[in-house]
Amino acid sequence: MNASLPGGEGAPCRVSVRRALLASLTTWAFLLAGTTGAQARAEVSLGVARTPVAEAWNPLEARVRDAPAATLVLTADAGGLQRGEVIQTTTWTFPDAAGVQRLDVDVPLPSWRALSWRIEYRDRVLASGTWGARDRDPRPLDVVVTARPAAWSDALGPDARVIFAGGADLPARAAGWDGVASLIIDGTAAAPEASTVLTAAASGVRVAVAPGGRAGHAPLARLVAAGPRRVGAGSLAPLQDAEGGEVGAPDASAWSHAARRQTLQAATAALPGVAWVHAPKPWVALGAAAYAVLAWSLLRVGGRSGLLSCVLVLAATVFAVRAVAADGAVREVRGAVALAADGLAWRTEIREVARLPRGTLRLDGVYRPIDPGAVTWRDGTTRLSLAAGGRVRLTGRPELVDVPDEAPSGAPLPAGVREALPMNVDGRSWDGTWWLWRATGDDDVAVAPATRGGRP
Amino acid sequence: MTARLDRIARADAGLALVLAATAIVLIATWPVRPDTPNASWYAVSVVRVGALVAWGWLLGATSSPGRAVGRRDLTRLTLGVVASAPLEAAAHAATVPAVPMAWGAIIALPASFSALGAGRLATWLLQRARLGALAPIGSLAAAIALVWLDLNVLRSAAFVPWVLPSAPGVFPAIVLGAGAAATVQRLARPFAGTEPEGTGAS
Repeated sequence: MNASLPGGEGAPCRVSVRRALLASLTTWAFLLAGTTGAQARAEVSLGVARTPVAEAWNPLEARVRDAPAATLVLTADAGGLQRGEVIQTTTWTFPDAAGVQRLDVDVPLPSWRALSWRIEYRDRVLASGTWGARDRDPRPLDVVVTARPAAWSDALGPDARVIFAGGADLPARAAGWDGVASLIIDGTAAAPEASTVLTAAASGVRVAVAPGGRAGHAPLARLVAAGPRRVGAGSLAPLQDAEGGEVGAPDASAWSHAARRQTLQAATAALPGVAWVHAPKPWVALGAAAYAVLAWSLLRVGGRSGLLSCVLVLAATVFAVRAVAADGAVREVRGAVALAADGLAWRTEIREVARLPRGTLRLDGVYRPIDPGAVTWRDGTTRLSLAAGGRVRLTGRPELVDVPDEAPSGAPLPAGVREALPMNVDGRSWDGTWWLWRATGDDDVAVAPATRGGRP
Repeated sequence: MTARLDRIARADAGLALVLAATAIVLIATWPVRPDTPNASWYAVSVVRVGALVAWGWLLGATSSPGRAVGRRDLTRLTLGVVASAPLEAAAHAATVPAVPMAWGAIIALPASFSALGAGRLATWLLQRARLGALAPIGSLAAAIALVWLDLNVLRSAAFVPWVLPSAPGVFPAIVLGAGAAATVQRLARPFAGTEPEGTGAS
């Protein structure tokens, strides 16, 4: 029997065509998906919960995908009507690797007229954004971690700059908390890390934590179990229902943003300026006059003896030139301020750098000039243009340190410094750092975080 | 040898003025206070180069023509440049400017030689134009015109003595080098014997 089944000979052919078509479509689908997935993506988050604060350090988080060694450029115009354009540029390079790459840094922001960012990759701009002068706000933030934002909207007073954040939005480093006045955790949302909360408090933030709360709040509750206390430059206190003060109001318990800045300015002003060592002027005058007279006289004598003597005098001046030479083209004075309590301190380095030749001063680390001027921060270094003989005063990135046992027994602060500080403090100078403690008996955390009309 | 050395120009009032001006400015601008950075070089270099250029122009404008006189003027300027260099070097070492020390040390020589040649050329042109009586004024006017031209048109700093020390560059070096080479070639090439030696003023 040779009868074949219907379509018996053509079927394999149609099946193979179908299979080929299917394979082709699948391949194209994968290719398209791959192409779409390989497109570089970039995003930037500046400030706590994307809310930048002017004249403060702000956390900056940026991500790129499949853009190895891409560059993030943040440009701020810190100028004004009198100063004109003053450009401050921050540049960070992402790791030179494929996949998702992340930058997590702290950047100082001036009082900007314009603020913009862009992520560049191989002469292309992957993403960009901008903030105008209207977005500039130097008021510190009141950060509330809550699941009920509506309940807190008006609780902190009309002047408060309230933002609502999740635990993941909170900065992990001290500098990131520079623009935050208070942190309120009412226990209704997922609890942030206890170390993050402690960092916030030590960085000058007034932290109020609900004693009870959802599951996971136990570590936070333990932080305030003993009642209000000072930590570093800030304070920790249980969120109270007490009548009286407002959470958002300035509080004596913590070194507020303004108080910290005033303290830094006082410390910077008290920093002994850079001193240059000059050869004594009478000696220089004597040497210059003697040389001029001697050289002229010998040349006046003329002849072989005169010329040879003059050559010898010229050779001898090499030693004189070396004697009056500067002992270095760059000099600096460094110090630091540490606001301490409970074994922790918020510490900021201050330094004055002077340079004899004009040109670019390059410093390792990110430093902010006291007087707003043009500056470039590139991959963790600071670059400033200085005129010949110019000098600049800078503050470093705030950090948390342990208070050494020797600090309380350091030398007294220089005379007149205490009066320049914004509040009553005990202070000691040790290891080039001013260690400042709030004076005992000062009105403090007992009046801390309470809402205006009771807890919402 | 001794006779030849004796023929070399000796120190004169011009050198005394250059040395005195440079030394006085060095002393006057030397800082006393430790918070003041040393900036003496910025004034010393300007005064030294300016004095040497002015001296060169003055020699060129007032010397009598002749190669022997020209050679003696070149020697005078060379002595002035070399003798005043230690004063500028001292200021430079104490000031540490962004400009290399070699620039100030070297550029003074072609600048003063060029000024000598330009001064002689201006005077010669005025005499050819039968304006010899106006040579002092005319030469000064030519110098001012050259500075004005550089400040407003060329912007090279080659002819501006108070900018030249702080503005090292290829163009000023080429211009002044060419001017100095032309002056030396004109004044110091082997003596043909047709001109009597020692006709210049001492």
